[in-house]
Amino acid sequence: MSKVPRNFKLLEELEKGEKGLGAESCSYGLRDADDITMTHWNGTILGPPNSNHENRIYSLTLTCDENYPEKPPIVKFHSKINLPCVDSKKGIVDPSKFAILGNWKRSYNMEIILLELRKEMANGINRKLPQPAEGTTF
Amino acid sequence: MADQTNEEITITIKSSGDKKYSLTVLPSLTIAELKEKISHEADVPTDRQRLIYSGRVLKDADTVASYKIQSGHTIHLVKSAGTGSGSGAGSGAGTSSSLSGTNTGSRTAGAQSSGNTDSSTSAPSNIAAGTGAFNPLAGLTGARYAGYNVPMPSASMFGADGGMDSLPDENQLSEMLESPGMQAAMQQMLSDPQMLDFLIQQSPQLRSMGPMAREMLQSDYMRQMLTNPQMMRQMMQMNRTLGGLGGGLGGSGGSTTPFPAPGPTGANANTDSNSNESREGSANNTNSPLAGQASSASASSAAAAANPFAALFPNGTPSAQANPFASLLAGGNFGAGGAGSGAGSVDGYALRKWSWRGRLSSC
Repeated sequence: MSKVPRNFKLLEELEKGEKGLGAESCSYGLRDADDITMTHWNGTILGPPNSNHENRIYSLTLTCDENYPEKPPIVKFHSKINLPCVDSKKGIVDPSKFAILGNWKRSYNMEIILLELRKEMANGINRKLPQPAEGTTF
Repeated sequence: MADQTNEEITITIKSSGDKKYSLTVLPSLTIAELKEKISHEADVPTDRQRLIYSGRVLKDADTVASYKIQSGHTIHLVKSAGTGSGSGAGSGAGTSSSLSGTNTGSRTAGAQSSGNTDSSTSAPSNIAAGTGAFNPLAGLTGARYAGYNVPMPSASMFGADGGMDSLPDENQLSEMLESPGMQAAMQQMLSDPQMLDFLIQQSPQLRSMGPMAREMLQSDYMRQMLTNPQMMRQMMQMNRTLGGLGGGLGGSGGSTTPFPAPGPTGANANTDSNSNESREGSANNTNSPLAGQASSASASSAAAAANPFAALFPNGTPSAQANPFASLLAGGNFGAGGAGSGAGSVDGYALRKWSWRGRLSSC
């Protein structure tokens, strides 16, 4: 199977994000619409219901360097969150604790990352973890 | 593109439950003004709107153009719980629903037109419960029933693009309940003797009640309670108030929250084969043979546990301006149901029995 080149893939993701074609629980787009390298992205995750994350909106950044999608983007939470796979100081998602990044496949995309993070929030213990006040940032 | 601020663009506002609104706006519009426009379309007050575009939460003071939103693009509308999203779901949800509790209390239940939010909108098309419920017996042995409608705390509920992306919130749920299909299905189920037998058979609580269980499930009161969206909404709101740390709607039965969600318990009990679990969950909490199917009973008993005196009031809020006795007298409405069985769990079985008889005869 032929590989989708980086820019095509990112353009596709950009369109999907802007037009809201994906899941409604998360959103993503270029931080700066004029960034022709399509490196810096913003993302939001709507906290899953029935958890301490309910009704919260988490902002994060995703950095897709030139190795994307061979390598996963660097994912960093902007909103403070208490989650085992997220570095408690810097907000960076640790690939060794988050399978989607750790076992990255080039067929994955940013939406999958966001949705998987949301699942992570809804998981057994994680959903009841005490969370920092909403609005605080890393 | 920044110089096109005087050309109107058409954007899509996407809300929960697959609802979409199309708006034509000037890019020079501020987000605050945009929210104002949306509030007319979507019936969500501006202070409860949170708009997300391309991974960003839009700020009121900025303009549409500043986010480079273009024609054909989509903005996500997220309703906040009316709490201004305070810290933790618990405290926030608690305050807001106790307000609505007072509100409903002053109207002494029954035929409230629930004043808040979008009770008039249609059911989300992606909730399959309606269609599934049309043939309840077919699903009794099928695992597919477990897929929706039963709030299972499993992570797979949140699958990417999967039919039900997240658990329905109370608005969605009441929307679902308001759909004519759902109501018809409920009615049909409750009048299906086979289905009733099955329900009774499945629940030790109901079984131990003997023929009375049947009578009760078939009563108009029960039917009304389960098919009246306003009532369900009230119960859900009450659950939020009582459930402490938010998310009352979730989880299976009483396992995740101190008290089971009365709304979903009632609904599930009549739509899926898994009803057994949630039903027992609520029954265990109350020790009442009636609690299993009487959602109102479990709700009020929950209030009793939290505050024994609160249970004496129909909505669990002593500050409610309604005369609690008025609703006790008004048979056949939810207020009476709640107050009756709530008091029962405090004062003993006799009163409980009395209140049930009262209600049955008033039907």
